[in-house]
Amino acid sequence: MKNWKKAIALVASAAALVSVAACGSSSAGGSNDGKKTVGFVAVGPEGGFRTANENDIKSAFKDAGFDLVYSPTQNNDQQKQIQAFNKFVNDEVDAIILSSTEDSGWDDSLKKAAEAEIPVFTVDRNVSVKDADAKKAIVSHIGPSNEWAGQQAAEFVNKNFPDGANGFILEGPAGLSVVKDRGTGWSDKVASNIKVLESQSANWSTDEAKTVTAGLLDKYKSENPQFIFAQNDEMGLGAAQAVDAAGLKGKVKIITIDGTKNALQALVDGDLSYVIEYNPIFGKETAQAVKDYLDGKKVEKDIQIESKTFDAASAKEALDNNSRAY
Amino acid sequence: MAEKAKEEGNALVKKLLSNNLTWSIVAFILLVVICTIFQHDFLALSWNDNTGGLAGPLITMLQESARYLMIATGMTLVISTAGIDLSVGSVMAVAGAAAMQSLSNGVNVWVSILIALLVGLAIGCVNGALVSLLGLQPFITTLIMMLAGRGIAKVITSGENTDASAVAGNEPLKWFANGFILGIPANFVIAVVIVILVGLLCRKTAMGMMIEAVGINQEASRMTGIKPKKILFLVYAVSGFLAAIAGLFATASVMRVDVVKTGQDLEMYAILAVVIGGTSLLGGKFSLAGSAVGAVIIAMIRKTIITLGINAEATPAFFAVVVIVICVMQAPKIHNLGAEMKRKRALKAQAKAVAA
Repeated sequence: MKNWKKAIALVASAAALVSVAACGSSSAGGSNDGKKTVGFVAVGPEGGFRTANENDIKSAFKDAGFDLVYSPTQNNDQQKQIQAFNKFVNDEVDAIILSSTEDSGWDDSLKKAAEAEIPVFTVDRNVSVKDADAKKAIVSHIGPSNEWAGQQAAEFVNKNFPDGANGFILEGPAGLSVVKDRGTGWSDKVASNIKVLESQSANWSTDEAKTVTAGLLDKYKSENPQFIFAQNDEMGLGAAQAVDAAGLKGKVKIITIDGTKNALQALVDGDLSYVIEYNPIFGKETAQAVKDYLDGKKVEKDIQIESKTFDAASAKEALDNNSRAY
Repeated sequence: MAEKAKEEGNALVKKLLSNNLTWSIVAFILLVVICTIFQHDFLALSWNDNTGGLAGPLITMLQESARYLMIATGMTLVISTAGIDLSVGSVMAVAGAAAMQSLSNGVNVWVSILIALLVGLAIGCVNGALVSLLGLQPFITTLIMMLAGRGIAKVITSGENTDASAVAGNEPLKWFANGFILGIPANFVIAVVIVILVGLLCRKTAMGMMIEAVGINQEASRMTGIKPKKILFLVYAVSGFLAAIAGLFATASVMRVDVVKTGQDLEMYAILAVVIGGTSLLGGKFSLAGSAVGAVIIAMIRKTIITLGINAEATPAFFAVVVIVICVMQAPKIHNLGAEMKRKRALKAQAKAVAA
């Protein structure tokens, strides 16, 4: 009886091991029939933006005739990304696309890539590298500008409150380059009579943003907060619900960055006031840059992708056109 | 006569001082005092016509504490059998995803709630079966479920953060997380009722004692006629079910599931709440009231972080420091410190007297 149970446990664990191993070795390397192999160190499912971005890159590289090996991480785990990156270097792929979860900690891996003469293209999130050898590996950064998005938010607030106003900023998790850049963009452009009462992190989460915003609205009731700059849509939607519950809908302007369908709908409904797009559709540009570089052409160091801004009217138009992919 | 009364009073004070619950409540009051110093109207309550309930910092804190109450209650039962359930956070995400996805696919709201609860119960049953029937380590079993759960949630929503806020007829679910009963947050009331029901079930029947017996020694409990396998299965199933309710609270609050963020790290919060409540991680003894206070304290610490405006970088450290201070306050060694010092002094005096 006991042995029988042990056998079941053994079989079950063996099955689990095999399936894990199978995940690890899925279709990496091997540039057959002259197709160039490109490794994509990705973030994986995280939200509408990420899904749209990664699907677009995947299909663009397929159209451009590359063999793209997609390697997502889980729950923003950088360790898994570094492992995937090193594996691509060992497999000697022709190029690596890196969409990093964190901006630091890439020096060693990039150095290895530089030694193996594998070009690295960072997309969406930039990485900060100290080592000179490691820097050589990065050919180009492709993506919309986070600083620009932050600047747009500041300019919207400047324009709407020429006489000054108080408000909050909801930040993403501490230590991400996105958070830093969106914050820098904001402080570059914001007018001196606009006062940020407090910046709090809500970890990109709708649910947390609601809790944080409710707390901040209580705390600064007497200061008459008039704007909330949420560094992404998800947090903005949470903030909107807290504002609504406090009976301040329409009195507090909420500005968000990303431009997902949900946010645009909320913009039309009057829950949000301004949405700055962070355009995820740049697979074509990325594939072109990789192709140019591998063909020996010169590639720009920083390829900026254009994004749009939305108010209620243009959001309605975009939704009616059904042109949003995410 | 008067001396006797005084003695009794002293005994009562001593009993209170050595009780974990007292110190938890002291810690809670301290946190409230700190918040009130920083924000003078922290305790102020006002009536909000918009939501039909009371409003104020304490109310939002209670609203948030509901989910911690649920997972801490389940975790208490599991831990008192000397096990652990690391999967509660992921179960929250799976249950929330199930509810939001079925709602936005046009399923009736009550059916969606039922589906979410059943999904949580099912995962709890799988945990229970693996632990009780196959005798796998609870830590490993639930760790696997914690990793798998996020995957399941992503499969359910196909990797998206499903938003059901615009779905018609979602009011009942919305009310669970945002509504009010007699001015008090509905989710808090529901959570407290469930905690009381579980408490009655444990303490008014032999169930609680059986759970503790299994936690002390499975083999011995089997010999006294308890069926440890059944008890083990039951506690994991209950934990999964309660985690599903917590998942509904967390997602219904914004009518949106975030497959990565919903319930993230909450298994740790649940364990902290249980430990603050005075339940031993070695099993064999539990206090549901203690865990409930622990759960409210967790919510209060999070509120304190917002009220004090602590930097995003420093919040985990602040959280850790507060929890450690509470645990130190509760440590029996600290309570006995006075007596210990007295004893040492007496010993020294004695040694001196002998030397003289």
